[in-house]
Amino acid sequence: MSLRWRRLGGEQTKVALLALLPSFIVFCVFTVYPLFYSLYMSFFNVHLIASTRRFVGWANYVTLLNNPTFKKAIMNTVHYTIGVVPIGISLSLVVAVLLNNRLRLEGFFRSAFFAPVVTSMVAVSLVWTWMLEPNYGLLNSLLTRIGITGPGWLTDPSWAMTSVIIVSIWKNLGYNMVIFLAGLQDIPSEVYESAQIDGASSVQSFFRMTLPMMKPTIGFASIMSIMSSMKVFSQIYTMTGGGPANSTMVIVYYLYQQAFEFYRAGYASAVAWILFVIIMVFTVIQMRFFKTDY
Amino acid sequence: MTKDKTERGYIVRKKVLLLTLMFVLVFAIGSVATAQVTIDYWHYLSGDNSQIHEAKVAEFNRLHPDIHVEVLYTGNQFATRDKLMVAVAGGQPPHVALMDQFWPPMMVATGAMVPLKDFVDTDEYFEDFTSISLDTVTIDGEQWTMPFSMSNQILFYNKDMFREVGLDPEKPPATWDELVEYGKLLTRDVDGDGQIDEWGVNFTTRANIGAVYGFITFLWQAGGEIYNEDFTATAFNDEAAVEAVNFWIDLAHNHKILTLSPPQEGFEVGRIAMQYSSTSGIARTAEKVDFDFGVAPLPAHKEMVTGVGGSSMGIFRTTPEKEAAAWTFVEWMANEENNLEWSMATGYTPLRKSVLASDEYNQYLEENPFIQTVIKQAQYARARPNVVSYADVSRVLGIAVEEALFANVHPQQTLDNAVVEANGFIF
Repeated sequence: MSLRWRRLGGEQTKVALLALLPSFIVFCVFTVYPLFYSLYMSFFNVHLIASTRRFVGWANYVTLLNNPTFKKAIMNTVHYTIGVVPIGISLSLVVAVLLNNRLRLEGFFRSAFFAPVVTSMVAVSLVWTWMLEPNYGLLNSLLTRIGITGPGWLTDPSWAMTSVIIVSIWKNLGYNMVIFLAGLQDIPSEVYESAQIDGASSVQSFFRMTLPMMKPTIGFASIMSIMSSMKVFSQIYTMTGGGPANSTMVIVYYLYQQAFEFYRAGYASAVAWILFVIIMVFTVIQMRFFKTDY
Repeated sequence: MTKDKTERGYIVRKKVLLLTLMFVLVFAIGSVATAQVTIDYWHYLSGDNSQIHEAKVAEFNRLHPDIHVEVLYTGNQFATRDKLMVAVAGGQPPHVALMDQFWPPMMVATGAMVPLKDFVDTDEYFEDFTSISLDTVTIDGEQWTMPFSMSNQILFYNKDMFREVGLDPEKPPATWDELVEYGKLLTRDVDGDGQIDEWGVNFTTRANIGAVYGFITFLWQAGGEIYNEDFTATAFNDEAAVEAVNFWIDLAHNHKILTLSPPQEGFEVGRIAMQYSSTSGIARTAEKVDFDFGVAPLPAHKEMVTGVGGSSMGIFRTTPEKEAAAWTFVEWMANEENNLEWSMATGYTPLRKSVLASDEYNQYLEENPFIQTVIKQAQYARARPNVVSYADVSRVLGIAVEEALFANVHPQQTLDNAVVEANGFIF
């Protein structure tokens, strides 16, 4: 018997396994089982309420990939991700670098930028819905003062997605900022000191030193941001309901609509698996790009 | 040693036995004292209506010592529907639930509900109910839920704004053409900053908050139908349907008298002149506004129609004892006395002919001219089709109309696609 197997049989291991068992059971029942069950369901025509079930093979996937609304949802999700991730990451990096200096009220600023992260998305959405209100909202009344007629932020199909993107960037800025702050503090100060002696300007040291040394951290933050952007839901649910005219229909909202408004569990499961594949592909590409293993 | 052990064991067993007996006795007495059937009841009413309704439930409990109704507010209509569906799918429905008019067909299809004929001779029992109130609860010729409240769509208008632009405040628009004509006069830039700040007309245009309920009335007014005659396919892509969608598009994009970004509570603050609303909102609005408030029948087109909304109470299959208690409860809620009281307290249209004919109700009508308009209009009221696919079909239609309206695209293509998608929900 190999060492490993003998260890498994050891008294301590048994206790450890026993201690792990409850959480493992919960994990299996509520995560692993539903995961595979949804894959199984995606090959059936399941109506949640009428409890009818018919095997349809790949039909759900075929219908789905030909559905104009789903195509639009994929495009909108990509649009959202492109809008949120690069700007969000750059802004949080800038804020992190600024806050990494010894500033007065440093603690205050850090908490202020982090506050939206710990606020519930639903509360944030409701407050922003009011600020973006076209007739009496804060944003449009400020714009009117400087002579600009603000759009119907959430009611104009060409502006709704932009509005959601703005709110999401504001909400998540602090999260990435904290990750970047941690990354920045890992960079030894000697490196900067020697660069300074060699005559590097602060802009040079940011681009030549900070950025390369932050690469793994930026990579991690981008992957996490892309994954969460692909799964965007709460702000859409509370602010736009996927509208107007499907302009903010994203993949997860489409999934929700199919599963809980139309009760098509099989079809919605197929949506979930396609989303899984998309996220998987993106993550693999990114891991290659940042050449780090997590 | 062994003897000792057995003896101790004997004593222990005796003690256990005694304790058990005591417990059994205590519980037996307990259950005698509460020989009462408890039933769970879910509803989604909010504000004043909720208070009035829950007070009635409390009154029921006082009058029926053998039944206890545990009332629970389960969130707004959308949240309640989701909870109810999940509860039914999980086999744990409440005993009674208040349901929006279009939920029962799907609930009935699940087999979770008890038809009212199990409790009463429905032909005889429902003789006193108006035919429109029965239309809302009849599925394939059988009554499955108890009508509870009934409203109609109606037009609210601001008489002060009518006067300001020289319109006769006692002559609200009677047709689509008049609606446009008046709306153009009423849509104004009041403060002269080059931006419109008062709009002629408003109604819900967003699909996710139920715009389709309003749209279907426009569809019917244009002579269109949601389904074909035998409900085997949808039919909302014919000329009439396109005309209805085009009318919405015209109001918003050509005449520009309907804004797609309406101010919150625009009618109440005097920035919307004519608001499509529900008869259930009359009392609340009349109380809130400080201008001369008017209520009118919906402007007609080819047909004169108004939509029927409201709710009914459904009984879910549990045990005969609970079901019987549930029936006692829903029957009491819709009895003559309580229907009269509820109608007068809320402005909902009475369900019973006897209530409509009663002296109290007619006196109430005299004191409330708005409600007279409601009752006059009620003869044109039409209930939405009670078929299983309605919830899905109407959702597809709502999304399509929103898309055509907001994107300002030709509706024919959008409706054609929606018809194909909606037909997929008809089995």
